[in-house]
Amino acid sequence: MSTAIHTVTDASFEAEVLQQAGIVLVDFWAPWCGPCKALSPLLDELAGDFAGQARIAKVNADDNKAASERLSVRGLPTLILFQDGVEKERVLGLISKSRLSTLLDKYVEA
Amino acid sequence: MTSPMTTPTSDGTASAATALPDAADAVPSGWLQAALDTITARLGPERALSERRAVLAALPAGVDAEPLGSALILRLLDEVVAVRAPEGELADALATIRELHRRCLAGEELPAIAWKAPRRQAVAATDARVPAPAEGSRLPPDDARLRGVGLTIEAAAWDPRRSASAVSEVLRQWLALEGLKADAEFGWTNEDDARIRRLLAEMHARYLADKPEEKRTVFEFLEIDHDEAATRLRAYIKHGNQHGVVCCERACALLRRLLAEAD
Repeated sequence: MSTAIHTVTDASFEAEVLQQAGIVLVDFWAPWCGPCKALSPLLDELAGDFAGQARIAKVNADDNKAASERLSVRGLPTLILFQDGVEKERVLGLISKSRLSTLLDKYVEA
Repeated sequence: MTSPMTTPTSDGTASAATALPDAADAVPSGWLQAALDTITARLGPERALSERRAVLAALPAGVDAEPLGSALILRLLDEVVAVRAPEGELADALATIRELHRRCLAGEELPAIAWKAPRRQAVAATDARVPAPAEGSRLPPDDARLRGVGLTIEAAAWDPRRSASAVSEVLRQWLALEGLKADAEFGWTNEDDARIRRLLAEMHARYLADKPEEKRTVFEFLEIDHDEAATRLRAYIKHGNQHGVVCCERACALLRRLLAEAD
C-alpha cells in the first residue's frame, strides 16, 4: 500500500474523515474481496496524483464494523467521497482509475 | 522503469530473461508487472508461471520495456474499436489518445495534463451515449458493447510510463468486452441473468435469512429447488471461465510478440 494512503479505523474515523477539511475519498474494503484487490493499486496511484489536493483513506470493513455500519456500507468495495466531512458521492463496486480521477477532479477543481 | 538485467553471452543472443538465473524470478516493474498480473490471473499457478517466463524471455536483451506499454494499448484499442466503432466525441477522444500514445512510443515526455482533456471527453461521451445501468441490472447487448468500448478508451487515457495500472486497466476492459462475446456465444441473455438473480434472492429469503446456523449456500439450495436453472448456471460459468482462459492466453501471446518485435 502506498504511504500516501491513510489507514483509518473505527477509532480514527471521526477525526480522519468526518472532521477532516477538504476532500477525502474513503475505500471500504476487505482482504477476501477480489475487486477490492484490483482497486488497490489504482488508489495507490491516485493518492500520489492527488497528493496535497485530496486524501485517500482505506477502512478494512471486516475489522471496523462501526464505521461500516455508520455509513450503511452494504457491499465491497464501497467508495465514499467526503467534502469537509459531508458525504458527496458513493460508488459501489470496482471503478476505473479514469472515472475515479474524473470524480476527484470535479471536487478538487470546484 | 523496467530495466532489463542482462549480461553479455558468447553468441550475443541473450535476452533479458535468459540472462537471469531464472526468468520467473525476474520482477518487472511498472506496467508490465501489472499487465502480467491481470492476464495470468485466470490461468492457474503453473500455467501463469510458464506464461510469465515466456513473456519475459521474449524481451530482447537491452531493450527497455517501459515505452512498450503504449504499443500494447494501441493494439488493444485497434481490436476494441473493430467491435464497435465509436462516433462523435468518443471518436475525437480516441484520436487524441492514440496520438498521445504514439508520442509516448516515440520517446516524447508528455505532461500529465495532456491526458486529462481526452480522458474527461471520453468519460463524458461514454455516459452521454450509454449511461451506466441501474445497480443490479444489465444493459441490452449492443449498448453494453458500446459502453464497453467507451470504458476501454477512457482507461487508455494515461501514460503507462507514469501510470503503472494503465495497461492492466485497458486489459481489464478488453477482457470485459470479451466476456460479452462469451455470453453471446453461450446464449446467456439478460433475462437469464435476471431470473438467476431472482431465484438466488428467493433461496436466500427462504432458507438463509435469519438462519445464521445454516451452512449451505444459496447455490446449494438452487440445486435442490431449481435443478435446471442451477445446471444452466454451472454451464454458463464454466463457459465464461474457459473463454476467459483463452483470452488471457491470447493476451500473453500478443504481449510476447510485441516485446519480441521491440528494438
